[in-house]
Amino acid sequence: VSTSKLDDTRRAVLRAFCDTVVPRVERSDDPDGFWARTATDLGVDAGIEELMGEMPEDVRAGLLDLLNAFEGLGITRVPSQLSREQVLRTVSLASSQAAAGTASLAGLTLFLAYGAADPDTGQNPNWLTLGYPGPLGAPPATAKPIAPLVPESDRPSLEAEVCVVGSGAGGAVIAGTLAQRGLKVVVLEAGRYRNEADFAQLELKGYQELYWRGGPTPTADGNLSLMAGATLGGGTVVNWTNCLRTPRWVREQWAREFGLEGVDGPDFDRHLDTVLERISATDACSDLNRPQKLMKAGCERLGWSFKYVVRNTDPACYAPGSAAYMGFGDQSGSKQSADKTFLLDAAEAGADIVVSCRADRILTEGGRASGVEATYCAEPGREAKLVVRAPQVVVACGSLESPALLLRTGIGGPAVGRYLRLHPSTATIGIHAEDQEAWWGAPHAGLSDEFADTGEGYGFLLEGTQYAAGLLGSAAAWSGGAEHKELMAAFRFAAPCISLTRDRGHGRVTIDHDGQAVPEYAVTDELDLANLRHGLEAQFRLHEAAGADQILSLAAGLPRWRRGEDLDEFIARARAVPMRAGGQRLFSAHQMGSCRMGSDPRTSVADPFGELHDTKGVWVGDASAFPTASGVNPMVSIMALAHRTAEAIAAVAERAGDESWAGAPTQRVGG
Amino acid sequence: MATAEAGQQSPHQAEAVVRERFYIGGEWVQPAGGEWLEVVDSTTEEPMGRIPGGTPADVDRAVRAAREAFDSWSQTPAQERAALLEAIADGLEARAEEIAVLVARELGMPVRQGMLIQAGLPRMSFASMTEILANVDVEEMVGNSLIVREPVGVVGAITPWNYPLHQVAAKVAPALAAGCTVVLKPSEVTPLNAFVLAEIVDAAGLPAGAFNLVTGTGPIVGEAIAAHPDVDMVSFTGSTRAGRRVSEVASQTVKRVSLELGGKSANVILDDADIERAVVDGVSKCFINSGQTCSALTRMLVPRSKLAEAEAIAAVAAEQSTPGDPFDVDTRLGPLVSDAQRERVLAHIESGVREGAKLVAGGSEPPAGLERGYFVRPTVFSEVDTDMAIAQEEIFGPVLAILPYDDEEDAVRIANDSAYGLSGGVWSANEERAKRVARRIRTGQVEINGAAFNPLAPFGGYKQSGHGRELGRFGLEEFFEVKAIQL
Repeated sequence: VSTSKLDDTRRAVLRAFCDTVVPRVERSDDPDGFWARTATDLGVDAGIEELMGEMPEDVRAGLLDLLNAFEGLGITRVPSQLSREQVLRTVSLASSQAAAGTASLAGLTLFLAYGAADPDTGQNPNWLTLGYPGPLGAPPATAKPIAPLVPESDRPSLEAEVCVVGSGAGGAVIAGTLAQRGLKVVVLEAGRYRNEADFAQLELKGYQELYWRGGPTPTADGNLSLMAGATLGGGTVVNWTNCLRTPRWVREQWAREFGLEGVDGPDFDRHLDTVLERISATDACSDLNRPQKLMKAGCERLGWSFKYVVRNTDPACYAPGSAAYMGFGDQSGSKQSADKTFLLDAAEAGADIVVSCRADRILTEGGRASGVEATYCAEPGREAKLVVRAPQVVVACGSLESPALLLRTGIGGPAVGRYLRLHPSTATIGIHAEDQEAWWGAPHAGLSDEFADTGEGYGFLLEGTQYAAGLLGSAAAWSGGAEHKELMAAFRFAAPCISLTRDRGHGRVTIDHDGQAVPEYAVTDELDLANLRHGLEAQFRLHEAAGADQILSLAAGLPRWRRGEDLDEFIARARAVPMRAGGQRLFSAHQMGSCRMGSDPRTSVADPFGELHDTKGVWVGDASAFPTASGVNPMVSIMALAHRTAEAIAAVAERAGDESWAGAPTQRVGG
Repeated sequence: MATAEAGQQSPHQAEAVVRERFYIGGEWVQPAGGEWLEVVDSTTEEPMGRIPGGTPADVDRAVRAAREAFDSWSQTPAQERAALLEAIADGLEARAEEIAVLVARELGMPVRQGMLIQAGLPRMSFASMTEILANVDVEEMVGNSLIVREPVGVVGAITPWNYPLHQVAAKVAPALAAGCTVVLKPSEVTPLNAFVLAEIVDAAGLPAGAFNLVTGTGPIVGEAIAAHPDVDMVSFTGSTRAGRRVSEVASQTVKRVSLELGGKSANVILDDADIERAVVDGVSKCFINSGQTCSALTRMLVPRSKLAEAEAIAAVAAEQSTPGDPFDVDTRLGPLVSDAQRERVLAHIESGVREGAKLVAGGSEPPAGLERGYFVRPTVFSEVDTDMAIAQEEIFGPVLAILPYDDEEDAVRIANDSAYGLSGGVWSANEERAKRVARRIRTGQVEINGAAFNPLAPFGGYKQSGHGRELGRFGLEEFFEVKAIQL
């Protein structure tokens, strides 16, 4: 075990790196000290060193190798910013792994330099120039209505009829539905239970406490940046409350090509309606912020569709002024996330919910489910094994962790981990003359589905996006210190936009020697490449039509168009940028399909109702069950499909219950 | 990464690498003759492998394969060529450690440095071509003329042993990118890494004949390439003596010749510079790869008034560069490449002593504790006069000459008092002043205050350091012919 401290040489290298990424730039007009302020002025190096101490050993070792490479090329000795930037470029050229490492360390530096707040003041001095207000209110003392079960003995074991692993949009619906039907349910959640009382409207805290692996995490190949919820309620706690029904053509594809009986008809409408009602989906809280108003105006000018988004929001406490912070947890409490809806139903109906509990593997007996073995870890260093005995096990850990759980267990067949869909997204910004206050209002209150189906049911949505200082700072590819500062100086005038691509091609999740998920994704499908490029072009045309003075793509080199320049030429250049690490920045907030349903065990993991082909009693209950990408923000599709799966589980479990529990209903454990 | 930890088998004891075939026309083919050349591990002085010694018949076969491949390869869209080069870059990355280990044995560069320099740099040359091709204007109009840039044809690439795969990649990558086909002859002293490249090229699916590998000695295979009438261009890196011979032979068929030759580069430390930083940096860079670097700053020019101070700093810096096993993680200085090279360097050191230069560090005695391996003590001479052989001749070993100067004018004069013109350095607290002096130094590159190496900047020499430029966009343009089509 190595110490978490860096030695003096590496610390000096890290400091030089940080100040290469966020350097001092000489400007005569610098009233707020923004241009002169370096990353180390903000203590970013110390922040990274601290984070490095918490990193897995191999990630940390990779970073140390990278620091050695910078040192080898003299980053602490070369005389100029130009030379230091060259050191970063040279190291990045030496191997794609070094390039990915350099990009992610630069991303972390930028994230902290623009997103982290001084613990004493709750502010970041850069926010003055950025116009970013930071936290608007202190977390309220809202009580937590669910009382998680705390395992007490050293080797605790629980018994249940259904053990649900994961508490996001899928797991919560299944837990709530089955518990309400009288089944004994235990829910295991790897994250913790956080609510309004914990939501400080701070990016760093939000990412660290609520997101998978502590925030935006690159795929192993560095091609995409992944964001996934990892808290009680999963992605529903951090998502942008976009309640889109599964598109007709996707439902038809799932029914026709994958055998998901009834998904193309009124039966699935019933599931959709049920879940939408329970999460209070409404169009009453869809105020457009300025960037989305511009989007709407642009769409109207171009003759493109524009629609208001239905959101799972309680109008009684809807607070648009702070809605933009909902990616770090919704302090207003208006978001009807899973912990406020289906999980609450589950708890009230007697389900036991265990947080801080990571499922290690599924237990099987005679080729069918018999439970789950998990590790309970409420505080670092104090771990306890927990065994849940249950004849029905629902895998709903999200599309990154669900396949990892099946792979660790060794069940699910050859399709486990394959067919990972990510909705690869590009982001652009239009820069306008006036302040945009893009941090006001819900990130998704409107969208354009003009290009949702450009052919064969694939295409892209144009949507708004969450806008925060650390997020933009780290999302914009870094290829020069002054250039990146220029971008951040325009932060307040920026209207962001994304295009979200329904991907036909796919990536894959495998596990490493420690059993940890390793997601990989390369965009190689020609249709996906065409849609990604088309999506970029559409964003540019939209910004132009909305009157932007400048348009920026977040690709390497931060390509910029200025009004008066030839837009077609700019688009042609942008289309030539490769859709991978080192080229266009790609993001994914939607992970799907890695344990998919289907009728063919060679190409799917679960049958058309969610039960594993090779292991009875194990069900897939989250987005990983999607046969293909949903093409829209997936929460509602996950919930509806989970509701359908819950009914299938109920049919099996109740039948089993009638047999095995007959005459002894009081033996149910817990409650 | 390989290390020489106790209990582990040293990489020096790995099984011999035996290569029996050439890569010609997309196949591994039997050499025409039956000669073998032994490859020696520079640390153990033991054989580590062998390669075929080629003949003019092998060269002819390779040139014919390259000629046959040229028509279609040169017509392949640039983007497709770039995609294949990226596949080669991926292959190099996947085998980076193997390459660094091979070069650490053949040449002696410490494996930790080698990962970046000997394995990383070649990858850069291939990986950088996509973007360079996308940004180079291959067509333009001049009046009524459409100017087009076309590949020069079949390229003979002859490369040395000091940065073996980098020098190979610096020619092969841009030549292929431009649409040329290539016959490569790597140095017979460090040839094994080039066979790895050939395997990678083959696996990447390059069309047969676009890249061909023939090994052997300079006088036989090198001359056959330079003389071959169907080779359109020879790109040579090596000594000035060999470069002259390549030029001579190539002139018979009037082919294009590009030469990257020796150097005796000056590091001018001006009187307002931070002398401690400048000298420490200068010494450490002079000794990289045991001084076997054509662009090494082997002449350090210091103000006469600061000579004593510079000597003292240089002596300490040199003492800290202890030679050792290239697989030892702490080693910064490995052995020289060969016995012959060690003998040449020792002769230079002895000539320096004989001519009256002041020995500040090192010397011609073998370094302590290293019984085997071609090791030489890092050596610093001071009070070197510009007429001395050690101030004029390229030594290609860890030997630094410190020369005093009187004023800026004198420094520029001494810096330019060389048959060579490859590289240089200037140190000053005043960047404008440093740039002014840099512009007056007659060399292909100058670095100011120890600025970073740029693998995409044009690299090449003035004067007897050669002609032509390698790396980046300029490196690509070497392989173009220019045609005017009047409309």
